[in-house]
Amino acid sequence: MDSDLFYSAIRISTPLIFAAMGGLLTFKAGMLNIALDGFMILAAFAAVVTAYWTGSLTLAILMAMVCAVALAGLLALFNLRFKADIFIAGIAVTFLAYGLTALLLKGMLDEDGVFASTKIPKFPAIDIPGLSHIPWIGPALNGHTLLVYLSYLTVPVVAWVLYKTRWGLRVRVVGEAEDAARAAGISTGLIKVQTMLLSGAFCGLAGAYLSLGYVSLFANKMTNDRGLIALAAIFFAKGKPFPTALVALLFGLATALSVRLPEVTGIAPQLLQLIPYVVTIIALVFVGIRNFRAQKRQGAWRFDIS
Amino acid sequence: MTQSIHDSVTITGVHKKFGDFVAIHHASLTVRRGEVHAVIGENGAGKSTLMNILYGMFPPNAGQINVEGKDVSFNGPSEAIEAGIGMVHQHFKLVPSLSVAENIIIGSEPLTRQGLVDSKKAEVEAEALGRRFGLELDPRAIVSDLPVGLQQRVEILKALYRDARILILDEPTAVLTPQETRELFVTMRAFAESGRSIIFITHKLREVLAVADRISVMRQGRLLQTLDNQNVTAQQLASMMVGREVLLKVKKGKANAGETALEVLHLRANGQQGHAVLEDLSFSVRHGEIVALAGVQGNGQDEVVECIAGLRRAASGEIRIGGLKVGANPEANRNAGLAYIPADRGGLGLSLECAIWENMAVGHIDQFGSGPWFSPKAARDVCSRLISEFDIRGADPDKLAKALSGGNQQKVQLARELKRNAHLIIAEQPSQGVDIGSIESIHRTLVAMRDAGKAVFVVSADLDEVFSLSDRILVIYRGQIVADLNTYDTDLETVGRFMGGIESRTGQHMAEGHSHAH
Repeated sequence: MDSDLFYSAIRISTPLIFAAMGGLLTFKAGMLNIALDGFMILAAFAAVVTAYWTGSLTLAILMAMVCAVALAGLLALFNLRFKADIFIAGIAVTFLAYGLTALLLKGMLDEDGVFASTKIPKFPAIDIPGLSHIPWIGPALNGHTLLVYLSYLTVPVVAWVLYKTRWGLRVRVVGEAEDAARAAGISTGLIKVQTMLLSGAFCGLAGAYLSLGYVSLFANKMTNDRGLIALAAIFFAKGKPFPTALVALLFGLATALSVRLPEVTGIAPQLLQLIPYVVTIIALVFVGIRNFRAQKRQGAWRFDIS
Repeated sequence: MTQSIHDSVTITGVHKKFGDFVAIHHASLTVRRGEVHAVIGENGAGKSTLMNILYGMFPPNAGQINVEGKDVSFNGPSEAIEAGIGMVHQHFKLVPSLSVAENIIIGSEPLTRQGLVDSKKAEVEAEALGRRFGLELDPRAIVSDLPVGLQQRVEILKALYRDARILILDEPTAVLTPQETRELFVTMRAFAESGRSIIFITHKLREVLAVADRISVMRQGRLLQTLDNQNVTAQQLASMMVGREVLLKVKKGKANAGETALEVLHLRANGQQGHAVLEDLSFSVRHGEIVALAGVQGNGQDEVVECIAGLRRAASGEIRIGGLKVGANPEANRNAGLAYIPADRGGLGLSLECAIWENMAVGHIDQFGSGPWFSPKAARDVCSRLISEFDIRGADPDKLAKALSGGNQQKVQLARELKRNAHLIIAEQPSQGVDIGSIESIHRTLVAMRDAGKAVFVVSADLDEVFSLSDRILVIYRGQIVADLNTYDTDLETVGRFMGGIESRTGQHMAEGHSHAH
């Protein structure tokens, strides 16, 4: 194993971690947010366009976040104000984002499918003094761009907010026992809207990283279902922040392996590209077995009455 | 209505409509400082709705509410809490995975100087509060690990933490043993004496007479009158609630028990979290007797019934219905002669979105039509017959089940199950959410079944029902049968002691002869 592999894994996991932290907040507030991909693709597009036109990465990130938050607001509006089922509304919002970005790609940049340009600025690699001298770990951790480090920093921040602050406690109460929250005088709707908008902000960062950090281009549906993989990570880790990030990192490692192994082993790359998906399936099968075991322990028939 | 300084709450002409349905008809009510004020009425009389309006859960369509001299109109519970009103709901509003202290502070969390939740302070304050009011609890305990009686304390402490001066208790004794109920009453009296007001919502008349200063009676959304608790009898209150004379106790002769119809031997089963809920439980029910299973909610009653009905797989042990060994297969268990009337009417018992005739046909579909063909007409005809036979008021085969009152839904279940001609009838909480008039007729039906030689097994949290209905009482405590008593030789007090685990011994009917030393 070499440190290059881990360097790639850390890079590849970045958008997953942003998206997973965003999804985690809504998950904790009792909402299954399946529109993470939609938020990300819109953000990715907004980031590329802004960077291309203004040359400013800061503005690009801001614009990505604003667009993703606006889309999150739309989902909150559908779900909380107009009482649309969150699953249906989430799919609608995601399709809207896919369609809108493809349309705008043609309309604004006159491109089909992919847009790339040398005018798009790149994030500089950050060299942390002294880090590169640590054998093995150093090269894996050093020399990433700002958003990579930021993504890993969000994990302790999200954990701290959820478990130490008043707002975090209220989010958890709303998610676990909405009636109890309402009876205690907590405005449950407000908490849900807030987590949804924050989820948009995190996906904004994820999208901006995808199109400006990971690569320097925009392609239709370039999120590649990373939002769904992030959700899988949340479920696998039972909604705990650190384990969620760890699982996201594992998916990143699987992807890095699928890129590296063909070079090393000579096995057909098409076959090895299956690795991340196989890992996802194994993870979900594991979750399924875990649930089945729990049910068997109870010994009761499950009646799905809602 | 004029507000005196002695009044803490004045409700004047409050009116509430849900769509076309008038839930509260211009109700007026005054609660004085330092009194325990009972609000009684049948299920659906509007007690909870009126209290939810007072607590700001929804706004009234008309009328005024005055709290401690100020006219108020609340936009949500937080404003009611602010005004000094606390409510302990019938269905607890607790967060199971959080600690006692965290549950108490939700919504008004103490903060450190950095703006974080001060869990240390929360724990100290929760503990101090409990000590002050004689409601001691470990503030670090996780709520889902607590028995229901203690969970209720958490609810009460939650209201007190917010400095509630007016405390609404919605059916607080439903989950308590008689001893716990008495302790609660002592706490309630202590609150009242400290100048607070308690609004006690209930339909248990004996309790009202024991603890209330004044009693307001509600019927069909109207507040009929408020009485002083002097020279009133339970019978008078019951008649006022129902609007006619009612029998509080069903008339029945001696039981004539015969062969064993249900035998449960060394049953063990696990609960929802996978922990052991039933531990080596044995009992039997014979033809021609009504056996009641009494116990505080959550001691394994649900699991016993689920095992017998085939809805839960036993970890070990044996169940025999009519001599036939049965397992976790509802169909086989029913074929062995079981009729099951579950407590969860809207979920397990009936499909509320389906017509009454469809609900009546489920489980005997084979009888209507022939071969692969089903005859809705035959099912409707049988349904019409059963509706009149069981006196299901307001029913019509094509009406949806949800259009019926709780009592009449219960009769639909009863009619469907008893039509099967089973020899073992299990009725789970038969009078829960059922009006007094229907309770009377449901009890009569069950006694008639007994007299027809069927075995009747009743699970009830309501001791009045247990005593009025049964011939023999089994008490379940922590997954074990701790007493097997002849109803005619025992009393409420004794059964209550067994329910609370204060006393444990085995009775003469126990399958095993061992006895527990106390």
